[in-house]
Amino acid sequence: MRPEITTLLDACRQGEASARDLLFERIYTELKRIARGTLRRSGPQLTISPSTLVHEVFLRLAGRDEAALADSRHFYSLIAAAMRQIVIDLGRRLATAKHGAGLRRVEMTDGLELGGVALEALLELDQALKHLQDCDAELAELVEWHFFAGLSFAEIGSLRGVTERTVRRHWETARIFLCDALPAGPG
Amino acid sequence: MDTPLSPALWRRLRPLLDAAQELPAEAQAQFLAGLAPEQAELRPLLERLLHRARQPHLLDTPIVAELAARAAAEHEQRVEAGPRSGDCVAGYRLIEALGSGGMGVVYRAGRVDADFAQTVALKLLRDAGPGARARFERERRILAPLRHPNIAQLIDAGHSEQGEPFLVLEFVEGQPLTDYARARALPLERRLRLLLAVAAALAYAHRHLVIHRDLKPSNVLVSGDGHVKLLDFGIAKLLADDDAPLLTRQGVGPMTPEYAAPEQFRGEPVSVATDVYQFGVLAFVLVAGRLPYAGDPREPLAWARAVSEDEPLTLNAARRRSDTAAAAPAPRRAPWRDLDAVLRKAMAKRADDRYASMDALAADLLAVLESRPVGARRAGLGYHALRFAQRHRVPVAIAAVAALGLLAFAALALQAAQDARREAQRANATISFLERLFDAADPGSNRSDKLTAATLLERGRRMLDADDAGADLLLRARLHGVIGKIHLATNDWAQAFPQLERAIADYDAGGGAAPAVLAPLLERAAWAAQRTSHSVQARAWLERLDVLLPALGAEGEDIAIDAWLTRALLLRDDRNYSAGLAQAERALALARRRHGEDSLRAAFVLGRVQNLQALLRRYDEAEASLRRARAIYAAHYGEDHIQVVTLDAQLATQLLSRGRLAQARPALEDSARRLRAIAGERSYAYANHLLELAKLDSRDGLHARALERLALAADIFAETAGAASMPQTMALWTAAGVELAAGDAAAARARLERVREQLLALVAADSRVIAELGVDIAAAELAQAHEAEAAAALDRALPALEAEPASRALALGLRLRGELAQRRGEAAASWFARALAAAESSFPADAAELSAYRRAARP
Repeated sequence: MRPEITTLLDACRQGEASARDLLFERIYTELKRIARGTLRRSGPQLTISPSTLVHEVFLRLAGRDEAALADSRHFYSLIAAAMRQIVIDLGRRLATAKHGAGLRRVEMTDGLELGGVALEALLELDQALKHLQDCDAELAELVEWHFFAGLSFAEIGSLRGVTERTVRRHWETARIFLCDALPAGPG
Repeated sequence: MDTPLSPALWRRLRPLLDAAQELPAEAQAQFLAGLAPEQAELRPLLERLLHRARQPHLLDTPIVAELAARAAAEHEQRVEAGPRSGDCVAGYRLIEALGSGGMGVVYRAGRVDADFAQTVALKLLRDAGPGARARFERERRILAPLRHPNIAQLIDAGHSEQGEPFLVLEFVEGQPLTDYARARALPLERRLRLLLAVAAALAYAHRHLVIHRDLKPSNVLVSGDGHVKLLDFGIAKLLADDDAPLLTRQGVGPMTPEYAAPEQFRGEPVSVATDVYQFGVLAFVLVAGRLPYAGDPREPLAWARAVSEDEPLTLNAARRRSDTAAAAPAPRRAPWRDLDAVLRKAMAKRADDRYASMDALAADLLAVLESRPVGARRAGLGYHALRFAQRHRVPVAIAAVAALGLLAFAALALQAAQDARREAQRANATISFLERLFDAADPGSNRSDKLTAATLLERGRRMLDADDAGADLLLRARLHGVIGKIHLATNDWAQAFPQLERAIADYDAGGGAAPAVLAPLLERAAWAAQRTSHSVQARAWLERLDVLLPALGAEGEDIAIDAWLTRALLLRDDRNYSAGLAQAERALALARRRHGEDSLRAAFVLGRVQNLQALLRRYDEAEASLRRARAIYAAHYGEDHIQVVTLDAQLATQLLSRGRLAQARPALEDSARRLRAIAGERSYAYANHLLELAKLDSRDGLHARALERLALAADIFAETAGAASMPQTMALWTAAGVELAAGDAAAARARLERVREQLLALVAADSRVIAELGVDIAAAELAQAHEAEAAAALDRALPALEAEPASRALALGLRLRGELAQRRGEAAASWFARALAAAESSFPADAAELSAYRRAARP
C-alpha cells in the first residue's frame, strides 16, 4: 500500500515532484494492468477503445474518493501523459530493435507495429509537444488527451467545462503550433 | 522547421491566431492586412502558421491512441512473460522469474561465465519512469556497503544490453517471517530468537547510517535452516544523505500502513526510531498473530488515528482475538508482561520515548528470553523477586513446597504427569505407525509377495509424506530419522539424505531436541550430505554439531570421530588432501584412545587415513595403514567380509597408483569379483572399483573396455549417490581421460565441459578441483591444436594450483607445449624454466633426469 490517491493529488497540486512521480507510476502500472486484462479477455484483437481504457483507469484509481473524483481533470491529465509515455517508450524500443541493439527486442515487440506511423514522426511529435508544453500547457494537455489518450472532443469539453466547439477550436490551434514546430515535410 | 516559437512570442500570437481562425479562409488575408502597426511584424509568422492549418498531419490519424492502449497491453504481457529463462542479462543467465512488480521483474539467475556458481536474484527494472530509476539507484547505493549475514547482500549492479538498470542480490530462498513461524508452529522462544536476528541486522544497518523504514514480514525471509535475511532496502533512507530530493522528502513517502509509525502518517521525518517502531509491530505480529491495534488498516484515516493515538493491545488480549494458528505457541508461564513492556516501549507514539537504538531493544528482548529483568519494566522489588524465582525455578519450587505444602507439590506433579503422557502418546504413535507399516505389507491386504526392507522404507516414507504420522513434529522427526538411518545402513545415501534433512528440520520446527538426540542425527546427516555432494549443507551441519558435542562428554567423542572423518572427506572432495589427512589422523588418535589399537573403530578410521595418504602419494605409509586395517577386520570378521574385500580392493588400487601394473591387474580383478559378489553388482563399492579397473584398462590400451566400465560405474553412481553427484562426475572425468588417451580429444573436450558444469554445481568455482579440471581441459585443447584456448584455461587454473606442485608442474608443462607448438621460442623458454622448477620440487626422484634436460635445453 502506498499513500492515498487524494494525498498524492494534493501534494501534486502543491508542486511536489515526488508525489507526481509516484502518482504517475501508479497510473502507468494500472493502465497496463487494465489493458492487459482486456487483452486477456478479448484475445489478440484489442477491443477496448483507448478512451474506455483511460476512464477505467480513472475509476479504478479514484474509486469512491470524492476528492479524487472532484479533481478528475488533473487526474486525466496524468493518465493521458502516461499513455503518451507508453507509446513513446514503444517507439524507442522499436528504434532500439531496428538498430540491432538486441535480437531479443525484435522478438519482444513482434506483432506490435506502429500501425503505419513513421517512428521518427512520432518521436518528433513528442519533441514538438514538449515545446508546446513550455509555451501553452493547456493546449499541450489537450493534445495528450485527444491524440494520445483518445478522448473525444465532447469528453474533453465536459472535463474542462467548455463546449465541444471550443475544444475543437483549441485543437486546431494546437495543431498549427505542432505542425509549425515540426521539421518540414508532410508528417 | 523555421525559427521555433518562444513562449513570449506565442503569447502574442495566440489571440491573433484564434481570431483569424474564426474567419473563413478568404477573410483571413484581409484580417492580416489590417493588423495594428505594433503587430504588423507578426504578419509573416501568422501567415506561415495559418498555412500550417491546411497541411495534413499525423495528428489527424486516431491510430496513436489505439497504439498506446495496445502497447500498454503488450507491455504487460511482455513483463509477465519476462525476458525468458535462459536469456542472458549482462553476463547473468536468467533461470526463472520469481515475481514482478509494477516496474520490474525479479529473476533467479546465475553467472554465465560461472566465475562463481552461486545462484543470485536479479532485479531488472523495465520501462520505468524517472522516479523508479532514482529509487533503484538509491537501493544500489544503500545496499552496496552493507555486509551482514542477516542482510541480503548486493552482489552486482549495472545496466543490461538494453539499458535497463539491474541489481544482483544474494538469492534468499525462504518464507516470510510470519509464514515461516506459522508453518512450523514455532514456539515463543524460537520466534524471539528470529526477532533477535532481525534486530542485529537492523542495528548493523543503523551503524552504517541506513534505516530500512519498510519492515514487514514479507521483507524478512527465513530460509529452511532457520536463517534470517532482511531484504528490500528499496525505500530505505541514508541518514547522512543530503541529496535525496524525491524520496525522503517529508509528506508523501511509500509506506506500508500496517507497519508504519505515527510520524510516517504525519509526514514527519523518519529516523532510527521509525525502524524501532516498525520492529515493535513486526515483533507484536509474530508473537500475537495479529496487528497491535483494533482497527482495519484498509481504512486509512481510522488506521492512522489508531496508530497515532491508541495504546497497543496487550499481547494476551491480541492473542485471544487472533487466529490461533498465527500466534506463537507459548509456555503457560510465558513472560507476557515483560514482552508487553518491551514492545510498548518500541511502539511508543513519540519517537523520543522509544528505545534509542536497536541494540537497546535487542538487549531487553534477550533479557526476556533469559528471564532476566528487562529495562523497559519499571523495576520493583516484587518484580525482581519474580524474575529471580523464574530463573531459579527448582529451588524456589522446593521452597514453595515447603511453604504451601501439598498444593504446590500437586502442581509440580501434574506437570510431570503431563510430560510423561505426551511422551507416552508419542511412543504409542510410533508403534501404531510401525504397525500400519506392516499391516499394509500383510499379504492379505497387499499383493506384494515379498516384504523387503526397501518396500517397508518406501511405504514408511509415503505414509510420512501423506501425514499419516500426524502433526506431532517431534514424532515425525524421529520417524524421518529412523528411516534415514536405515537407508544409511544400506549405504543408500541418496535416499537417506532427504529423510535426515527432514528429521532435522522437524526437530528444529518442533522446538529442538536434546543434544543426545540431535548430535548423532547431525553427524549421520552430514555424512549423507557429503556422500550425496551436498557439501555446503554437510559443513553447516558439522558446524552445528561442533557446538553440541562438548555437552555430551564421552558419548560425544564417538560422534566426533565420525564427524572428523566426514570433514576429512569434504576436504578430500576439495582436493585439500593434507588438511583432510590431519582431520582423519585426529579421528584415528581419538578412536585408538577410546576403543583400543586393534578395535574395529580404529580399523575403520585407518581406512580413511590411508586413502588420504595415498592421495598425497605417501604410498608406503598408505600401504602400512591399509595392511593394518585389513588385519584388524580379518581378525574380527574372517576373510570373506565386505570390509576385508574393500580393503583388498584398495590395496590393489594402490598397486596401480604406484605403477606396479603387473601386480595390479590380477589383484584388481580378484577384488572386483569378490566385491561384486558381496556388495552387489549395482553397489557403490563395486562401481568405485570399476573406476580403478578402467584406469588399468586404459593404461593397457584397452580404451573401449575402459569406457564401458566407466559408463557402468557412472550409471551405478547416479543410482546410489545421485545423478551429477561427485562420484558420478568423477566417473565422467575419468572417461574423458580415457578418451584423451585414446586420441579422441574432441570427445574428451566435450565430456570435460559436462564435467565442468556438474562440478560447478558441486564445488566453489575457485576450488582446486576446478583448477585441476582446467589443466585437463587444456590438455584436450592442445591435443586439438587449440593453443590459445589451452593457454587461457591454464592461465585460469594456475593461481589455484600453488599448493599442488604436481598439477602445477603438469600445467606449466602444457603451457610450454602450447608455446612450442606456436614456435614462440622466447615465451617457451620462460615457461620451460618455470615448468622445470615446479617439476623438480614435485618429483624430486626425477630431478636428476630433469636437470639433464635443463642442461640440454640451454642455448
